[in-house]
Amino acid sequence: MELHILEHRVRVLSLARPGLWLYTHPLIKLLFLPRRSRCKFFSLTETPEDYTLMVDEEGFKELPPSEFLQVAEATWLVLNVSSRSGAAVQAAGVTKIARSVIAPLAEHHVSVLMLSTYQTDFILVREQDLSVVIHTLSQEFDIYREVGGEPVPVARDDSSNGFPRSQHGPSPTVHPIQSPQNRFCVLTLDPETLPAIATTLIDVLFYSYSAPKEAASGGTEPSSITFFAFSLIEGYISIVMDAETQKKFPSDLLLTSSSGELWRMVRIGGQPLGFDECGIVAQIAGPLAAADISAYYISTFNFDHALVPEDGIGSVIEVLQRRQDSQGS
Amino acid sequence: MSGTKPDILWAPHQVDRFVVCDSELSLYHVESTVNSELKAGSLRLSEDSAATLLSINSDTPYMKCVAWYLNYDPECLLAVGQANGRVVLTSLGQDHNSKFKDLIGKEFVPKHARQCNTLAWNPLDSNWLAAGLDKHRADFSVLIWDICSKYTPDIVPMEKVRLSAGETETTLLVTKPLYELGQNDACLSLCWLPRDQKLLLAGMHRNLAIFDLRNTSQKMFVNTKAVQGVTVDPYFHDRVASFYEGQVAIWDLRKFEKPVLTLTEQPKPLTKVAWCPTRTGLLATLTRDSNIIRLYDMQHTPTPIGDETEPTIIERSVQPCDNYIASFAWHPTSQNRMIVVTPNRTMSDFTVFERISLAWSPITSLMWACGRHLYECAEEENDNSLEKDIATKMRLRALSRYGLDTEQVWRNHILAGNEDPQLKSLWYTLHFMKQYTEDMDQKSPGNKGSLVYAGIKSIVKSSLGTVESSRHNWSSLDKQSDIQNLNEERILALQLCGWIKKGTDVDVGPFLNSLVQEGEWERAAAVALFNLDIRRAIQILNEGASSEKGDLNLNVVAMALSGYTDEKNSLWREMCSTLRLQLNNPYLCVMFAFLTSETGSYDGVLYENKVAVRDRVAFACKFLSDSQLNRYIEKLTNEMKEAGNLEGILLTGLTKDGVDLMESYVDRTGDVQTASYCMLQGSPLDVLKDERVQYWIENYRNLLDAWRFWHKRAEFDIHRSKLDPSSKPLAQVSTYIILERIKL
Repeated sequence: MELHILEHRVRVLSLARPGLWLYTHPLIKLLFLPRRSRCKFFSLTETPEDYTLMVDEEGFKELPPSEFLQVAEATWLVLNVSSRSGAAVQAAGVTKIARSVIAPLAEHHVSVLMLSTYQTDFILVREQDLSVVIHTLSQEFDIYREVGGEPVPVARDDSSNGFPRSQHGPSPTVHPIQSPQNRFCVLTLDPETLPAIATTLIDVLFYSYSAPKEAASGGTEPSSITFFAFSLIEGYISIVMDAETQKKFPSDLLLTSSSGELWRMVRIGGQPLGFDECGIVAQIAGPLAAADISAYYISTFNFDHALVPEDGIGSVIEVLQRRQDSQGS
Repeated sequence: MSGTKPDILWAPHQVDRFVVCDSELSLYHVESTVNSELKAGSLRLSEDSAATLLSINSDTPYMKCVAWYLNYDPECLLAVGQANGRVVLTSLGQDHNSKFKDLIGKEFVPKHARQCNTLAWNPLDSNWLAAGLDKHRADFSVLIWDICSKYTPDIVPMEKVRLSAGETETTLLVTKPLYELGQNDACLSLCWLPRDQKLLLAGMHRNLAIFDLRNTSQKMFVNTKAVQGVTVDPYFHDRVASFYEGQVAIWDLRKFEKPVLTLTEQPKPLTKVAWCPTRTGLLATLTRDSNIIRLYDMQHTPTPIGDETEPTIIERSVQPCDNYIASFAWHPTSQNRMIVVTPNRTMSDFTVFERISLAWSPITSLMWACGRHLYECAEEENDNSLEKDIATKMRLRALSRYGLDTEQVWRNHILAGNEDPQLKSLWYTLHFMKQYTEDMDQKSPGNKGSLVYAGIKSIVKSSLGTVESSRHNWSSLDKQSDIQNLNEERILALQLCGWIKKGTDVDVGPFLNSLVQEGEWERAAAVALFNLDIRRAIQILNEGASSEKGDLNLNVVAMALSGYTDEKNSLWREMCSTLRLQLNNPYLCVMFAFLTSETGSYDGVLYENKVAVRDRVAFACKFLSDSQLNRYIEKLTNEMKEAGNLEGILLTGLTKDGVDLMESYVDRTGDVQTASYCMLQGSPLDVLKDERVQYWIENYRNLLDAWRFWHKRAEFDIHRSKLDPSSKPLAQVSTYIILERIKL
């Protein structure tokens, strides 16, 4: 297995909904005119609370500071796992890397953010944690750092000096989960056909928000959630959207699996999670991996989101509930 | 492709058909227009060809790549890779009852939709089609389809294929590939390796990988950015080209760790790279927004031995049209032929003109190669220009050991064929120079030797300022008295000119005798006259007139000569000075010029170019004052240098001046042989070190090699090592051998 430390240096931002008008121009530019900026890593996720942006430094320059824009302090580096062996691996995504990357990093108190796309999974770690990350993962992986597009092997560091060994298990805080009723699809798009869906996309992203009606049922489970994720990373587009929203788009341009599978969401966190706590991804990914359930995982400024196959939502809730119970007892 | 940028493909078997693909596929037929008018509706491709549109197929939207079925197919079966990753088989034929009708319309569907970047038909199993797709987090990017496999509608229930709803009624979907490779990676380019049906080379996201289908868990890979457009050299199956942005990398699969070479980086990104299928080692490349195709000729690229070998490539470019080129395609069989298409779909059919390589043979024939043709050009046997050719001459002279007589140096001109007066003069000069050097060495070692080799120019310069030589007394013309008045330097010069023998003897008698013996009566007479012996001159002329080979008219000349009077306004003088110009023989001419000249003005003699330089110089030494002599010698030397006249070596000697003169001579004649032997004869070290001299010597050695005169080469090297103290490699080798023997 190979772990690549990509060249992007990513900032994580939260844009408050009332400030959207102020950022329309840079966002449109980053979304549709990637050649106008040198931004190679752009992710925009709409949640009921805000818009979360993950952008590299070139993209960050496009966004003027304002009272509506919150910027997480750290600069994040992007990790990507690739398997060199041709051997088939069944479960996909976060599940695949849960044991090898997520759990060890949690044990070493490295806080991570996740961004799954149609093409791959990105793990974001804070730049200051890099040495711990390399130390922790060098046992399992051949680590390469991309420099000028070329992978440069990172020397394996066998000594454990200065780095505390695994001290205890994952985070003691068990975050509550929610599972909205909407069904999501994960899609991609030929970047050349992006202009064809531009108006629909702008409409969906910026003009379709309706304030959530306070759930008539009054329960903790919201009937549905506003969630839309768009990323354009190294020229690849990935979109996660509500299956209902997808109907607004021309059917022949959006690309997805031939099985047309749909996904349900598990939303993690009651209170905003912050960026310091480690082990949040691990406490979700671990049990899913154990149950061999494939998942997408998208971190935002405040909360984390896992997407699991529609058919498996029941067992996922059950698995994660058990985690909560075991912790509680 | 994708709307704006058309691509173009030649049919692999129907050599007069090609397809242009952008948003649709258009099949064209190429016809020659040499003997016919351009048909209505035809598009002109070149001066002598035109294309007719046969059919258009717009069944396959979102085309990303197209590959032509490699077996012969009358229906033009094409595989089209789409933006959603599906591969569709389609055709441009009209006959729908063909054996391919079951295949047409068949679709091969990946589990997860994403762009299909590349397609490659297996050259050995025509049913195998490899498709390279973009990355998906949980899917493979290289799928190998068997186009004859049964479609499997039960694997993908129709109602679940939501994204293709409405178009699936009659579509034959295949969802199970033969092989799946490259998990969680992107495949940007593909090609099958001709050496085995089951070897596939793929340009993946950050590496080139060779997949072996016999064991799919094994693959060979190398990390590189150059992953676009992988393509195997059709003539050298281990050689592969790939590119990244503006840079082409050439790989040797036997040494796959890094490119064996990279081509000069282009400022704009490359869009296509293709080996010429009809000629070895010719790679064509195209960059974005460019109207030229660059060609790289790797004919002589050796396979790398050391790590640092960077073989030479010949780069050139062709400009088939004024517009930017969108794409190009080599013709599969027609030599060096190519078709290009521009973004607005104008096309141009042309043949890349073959680079002509030319080689002179060392024996007067010329060869050149153009494409698959080899031409030899040799002069006809009976043409005597062949004999005049310097290459022929040098070769014959080498065979006759020209230059190697180091004792009787003058004899070398006879070895050279005794036909060139300049060579004769040169070898006599060198002979005299050698004689007197040896003479000087015996008398006083290390004294005047260098002066002699320095030539008359330096000799007379060194005498400047000494006693002015006395003016000759015309009244005592028939007395031999004045020559004793000449100073030492002038005597030395006369000796080098060959007029008088070495030693203290200043008599020209022996020289006159030798000239008479050789039948050079006119010259002998002139020399006698210049030595103020008019009787001897008349006697010689009479002798010449009475000899067999001689000219009877010489008697008349003798008669005229005998009427000499030094009276200024005499009729004799008047007649002689006008009529002398009608004499053909330059020596007779200068004799009367001398006799009729005004006092102290000998231009009629000194600038008579047909008279040998040595005689004019000897004359000047006898009759000019020091300053006149210096000016004259200076002037003559420059003339000789400019003309490259070897007679001038007498003046320059084997000095830097001599090298300049020899340079003009070699420029004029190409005779590096004479130049080498001459300079080796006795040049001082700094002259031998002159790079021109070394260059002549090296070239002559190469010539000997080229003629395969190995023994002559060895002889020359030995000769060189004796005469050129700076070249001692041979001596070292022999010393080494001797030491080895001693050890044994």
